[in-house]
Amino acid sequence: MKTQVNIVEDNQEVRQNLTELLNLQPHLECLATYDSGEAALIGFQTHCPDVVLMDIGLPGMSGIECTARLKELHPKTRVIMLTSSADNEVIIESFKAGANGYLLKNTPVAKLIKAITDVSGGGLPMTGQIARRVIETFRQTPFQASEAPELTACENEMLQLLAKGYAHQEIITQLNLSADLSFHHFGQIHEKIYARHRSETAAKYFNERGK
Amino acid sequence: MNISGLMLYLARRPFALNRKGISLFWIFVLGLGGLKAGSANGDFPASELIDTNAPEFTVRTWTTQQGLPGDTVTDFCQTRDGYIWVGTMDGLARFDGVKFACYGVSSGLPHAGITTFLEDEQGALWIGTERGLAINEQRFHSVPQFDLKLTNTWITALAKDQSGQIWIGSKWGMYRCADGQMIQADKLLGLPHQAIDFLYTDHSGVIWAWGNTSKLFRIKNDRAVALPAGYPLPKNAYIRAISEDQANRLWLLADTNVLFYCKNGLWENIPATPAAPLHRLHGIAETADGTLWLGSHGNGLFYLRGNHFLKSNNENIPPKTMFKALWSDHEGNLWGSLLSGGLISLHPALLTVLAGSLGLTNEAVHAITETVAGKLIVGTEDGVYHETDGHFEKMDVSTNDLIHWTRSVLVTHANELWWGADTYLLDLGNANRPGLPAKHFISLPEDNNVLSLCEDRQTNLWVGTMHGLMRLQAGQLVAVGDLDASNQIQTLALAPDGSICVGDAKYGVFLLRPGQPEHYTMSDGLKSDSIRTLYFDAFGALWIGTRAGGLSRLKDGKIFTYTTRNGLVSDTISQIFDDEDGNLWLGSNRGISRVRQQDLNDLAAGKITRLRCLNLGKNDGMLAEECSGGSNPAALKAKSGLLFFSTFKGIVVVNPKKIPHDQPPPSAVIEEIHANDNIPLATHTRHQIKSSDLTNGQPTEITLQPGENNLEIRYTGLHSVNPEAIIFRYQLIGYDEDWKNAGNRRYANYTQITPGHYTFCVEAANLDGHWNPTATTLRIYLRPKFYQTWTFKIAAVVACALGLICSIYYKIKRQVYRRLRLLEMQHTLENERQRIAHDLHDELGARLTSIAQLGELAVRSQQSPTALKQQVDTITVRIQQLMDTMNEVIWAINPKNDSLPNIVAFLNDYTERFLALGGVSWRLEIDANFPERVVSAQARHNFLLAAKETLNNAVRHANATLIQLDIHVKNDALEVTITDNGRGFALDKIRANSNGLSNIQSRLASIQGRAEIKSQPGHGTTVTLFMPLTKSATQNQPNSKPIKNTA
Repeated sequence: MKTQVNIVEDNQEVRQNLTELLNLQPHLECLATYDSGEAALIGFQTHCPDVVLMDIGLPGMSGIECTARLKELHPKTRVIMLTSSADNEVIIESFKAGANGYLLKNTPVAKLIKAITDVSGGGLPMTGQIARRVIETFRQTPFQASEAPELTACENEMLQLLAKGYAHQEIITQLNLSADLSFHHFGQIHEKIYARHRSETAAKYFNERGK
Repeated sequence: MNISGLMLYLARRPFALNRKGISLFWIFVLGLGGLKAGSANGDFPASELIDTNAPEFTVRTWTTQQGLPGDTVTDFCQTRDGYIWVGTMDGLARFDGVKFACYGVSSGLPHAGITTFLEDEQGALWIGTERGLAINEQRFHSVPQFDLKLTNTWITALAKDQSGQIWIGSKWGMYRCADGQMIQADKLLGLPHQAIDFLYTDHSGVIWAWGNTSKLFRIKNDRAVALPAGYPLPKNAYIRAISEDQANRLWLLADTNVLFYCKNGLWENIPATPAAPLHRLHGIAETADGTLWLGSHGNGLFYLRGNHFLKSNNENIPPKTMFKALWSDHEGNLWGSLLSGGLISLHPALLTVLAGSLGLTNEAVHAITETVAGKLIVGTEDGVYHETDGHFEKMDVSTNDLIHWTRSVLVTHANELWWGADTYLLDLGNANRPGLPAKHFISLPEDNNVLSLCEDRQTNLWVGTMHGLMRLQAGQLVAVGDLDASNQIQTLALAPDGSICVGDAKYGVFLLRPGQPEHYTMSDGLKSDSIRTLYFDAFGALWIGTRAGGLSRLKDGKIFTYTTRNGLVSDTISQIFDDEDGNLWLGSNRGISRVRQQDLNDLAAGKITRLRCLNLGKNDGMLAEECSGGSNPAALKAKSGLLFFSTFKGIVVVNPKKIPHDQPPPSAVIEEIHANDNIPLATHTRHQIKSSDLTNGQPTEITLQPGENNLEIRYTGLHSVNPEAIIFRYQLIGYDEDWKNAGNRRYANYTQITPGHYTFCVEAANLDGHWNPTATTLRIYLRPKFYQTWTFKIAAVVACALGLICSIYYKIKRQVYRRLRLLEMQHTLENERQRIAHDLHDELGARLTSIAQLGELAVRSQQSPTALKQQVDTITVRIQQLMDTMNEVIWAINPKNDSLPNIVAFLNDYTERFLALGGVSWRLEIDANFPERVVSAQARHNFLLAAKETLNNAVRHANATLIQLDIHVKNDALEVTITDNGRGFALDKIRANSNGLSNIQSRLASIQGRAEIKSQPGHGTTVTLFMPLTKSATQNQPNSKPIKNTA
């Protein structure tokens, strides 16, 4: 069963190249691409992909907002943000909106393909900076609504190690996890980030639009 | 009984005066007086109402109510500077004739009870008190400073002998002052120890002493000799005082009824008379005219005439006045101490008033004339009076009650008395015995009154009435000339050529010369057409007194008018006379005035601008100052030379010969300067002029403190017969432009004077207006407040100028600075752009070129598809790398990344990527938060390059597998430590030829940082980079603890 990947990217060339590259992979299939957030949402009404590659810098609706709406529609879809520059603030925002990982646009194709495969398991590892910020956000609102789940010890540990500069491989070795399990944990982390900031995100995007 | 018989009778029987004798005695006295009065002017017959030889006084008393310290005056002394010192039982007073300055124990006196005074040769005043001696070494107008001697001794008397030595009598005997030391002198003199009552030095230098041994001692050549008892006084007689007169007669005042005196060594006496009892005499003094006066305790005042004492019958000295003592001052005034009555002064009176006490039942006098024998006839509002036996008797008019308001009386050359009253003109017959019925009785129409009477050389009687001029002809009044019913003839005068001169109430002056009548009105120079009086003087000039138009002189057909503007005392002149000394006497609405005719002529000629008049008024005894006018003759110049002026309250008699002429003017004396007295809350200071302020009367300077700019300068006048009549004028040179007349005000006020040097001059003048030619001056210097001084003003101006210059300078400097900064910023910006351009060129340019070349190569060369694929791969990788570099460049351009947190984040990400590429593990330890500090582009650039280079060294050269990265902020600097586990190196060996390390050092040095490199072969390398942080405008966040690894 091929993993369904959608692309939301406004640059036509990049979009087309990506599509071709993805379709060349045996286990991936890219059937829908959109050039704007609005178009993507319309498409998502009827179509539920497994993974979405979301460009952050979209015209009109931002990639982050699109992510938020997409996750409302299809909570199980994994979203990977594509960004041209590693702006940590923007990346954190996209996590709060529900993204499961991010990649730089100039990532080599091999890495891109691997990332798509990994994210199906849950979520992608993050850089040390991002990890530190994530730890911080969890610390900032400790006694909030019971809905907001806390990180497990294992998840916390993983984040700490990331913050310390450990590479993904080192973390797996250190914590005696399998790669898949680590992606699962990452996915959990992302879900918890998303859950914590659900109301915030809703207030930001949904009330504005009046939906 | 004739007069000589009377004299003989009295001479023989001095003590046997019975009642008849007394009255005869008085008649004799008065008669003598009357005869003597004639001596005022040759042998003319004269009125008996005035005894010109009887001294007349203006009496004035001072008690504690007027400022005297006590009501019992014990001694009196006028020092040579003019001040009068009065001693009382309650203090000392210094008197300038108007006010008292009091001194008591608080001023330095040993006791307030003053007993005696003495002025020594040097002018110092010795003051004896009940508790010792106080000597005031005064020089002019100093503040009294008392030198105390013989304290606790009750001083009773002071005397100086011929050598100038001072002898002091006290209740414990005699002392002598030798070289400032007080020595008991009883033994020396051979005096028995006694309490001394008084001492007196006579003209020969002998000191007479009397004490409670009741013996009279004569002290001569330091030996005291007692007079034998019983000689000259009876035994047990008590002597009160001794005094010597100008005739060198030494008088003893004792409680005997005989007055003893010693002349040329011989004792004589004057017995008492019932009129002049001598047993209670307490004071004796001599006035300037040589009259000796006695003050008695209960019988008033007596004066010596020839060999007898006469009682002064001055109204102001009651017969029972209790005199305690009598003194005279330098000006010849008489002073006395009254028992509990204070101080009394008697100034010679300049005028006498005849009023109700002499028989005038109505004192409103309108007309005066005199008989051929010189007796007065006076017309008042209730009738006519004639002089009889030294008083006035009213003429009986009971037969005709309607006649009483007298307007005019005249005695003709034939000694016939004419009386004009109401609407009647009466001839009352012989002036010596006037009476009704009248010889002639003329009745005028109801509305007409007789106003003036005049007899011409042809013995014609001219009558001026309310309605025209008339003349008596054959017993009838006949109108004369053109002066008819519209003319109110107020005054008539006889011109030297015999013609009649008429003064009208509305139409000026008419000269009725037959053939050349003249008429003068305001258009001719008169200032008023209402004529009150006319008088031809000895030189033939006509003096015209007007109502509200001053005095006019008609001379040679020209009129000159004098008014109050020229110094005349009043503008309404009703009575005019001249005297034999070239003076004009004026009776005006404000008293009687004497002015020199020479002055009047000089004023008319323009030589002077102001008249100097001697003015007599209420202060001199006048009961009313307004002299009667509107009818004539209102006043009389008697044949005896006396002047009689009529007023609404009696007749004022002036003896021109008795009015002082050319008296030396008083000297003005500056006493005190008060500063800021009338300013509330300001410091009031009183500068009393001290002797140190004046040297020989010449002024030195008084210095006023800054802020004392409201002055009251107090001065007074001394050496004057009549201190209350002194007038002053002053000028503050430097402030006033001219003299300011102060009248009798004794202070000058100045407000808000500016600081500087001034000279205050003051002059005094006496009654006749002669100013003392030597003005008294004092220099005054008001110190400026510091902000008023020139130094301050100049400093202020300089400071302002400097301030201005400084502000301009700073403004320019700021502008320049701003422009420089602007240029700097532009320069930095340009540098940055240049650098970016340079970076782009360097980083991207070369690589792009190589990529392009690779591409071309791939296309051109003949290669297997695998090799081609590889080449394309290489190209792809290169492009990826390029993208990284480009991202870095873009990151660097973004000014958002000038902040420290972003730089740290970048370093983290770079390290992560770089190490991931090389497959090297790394560990991170950083602060949780980094403060928002601005890092300059240059610092960021160099620091990051240094860090990259270090990482590169660690991975490529040291072959490390694990790198530890520590990023912290310490001491305001960013510390980045990169530790690797590579092979290390020897520092000393490498340093010499390693470009990379020196590059790192120089890069950090260029941003004011530094690099610490530690390494050991085989043990890895640690490189620490320090970058100092600048302060930024944003808030600094405190550093928190770094996150520890809990694994």
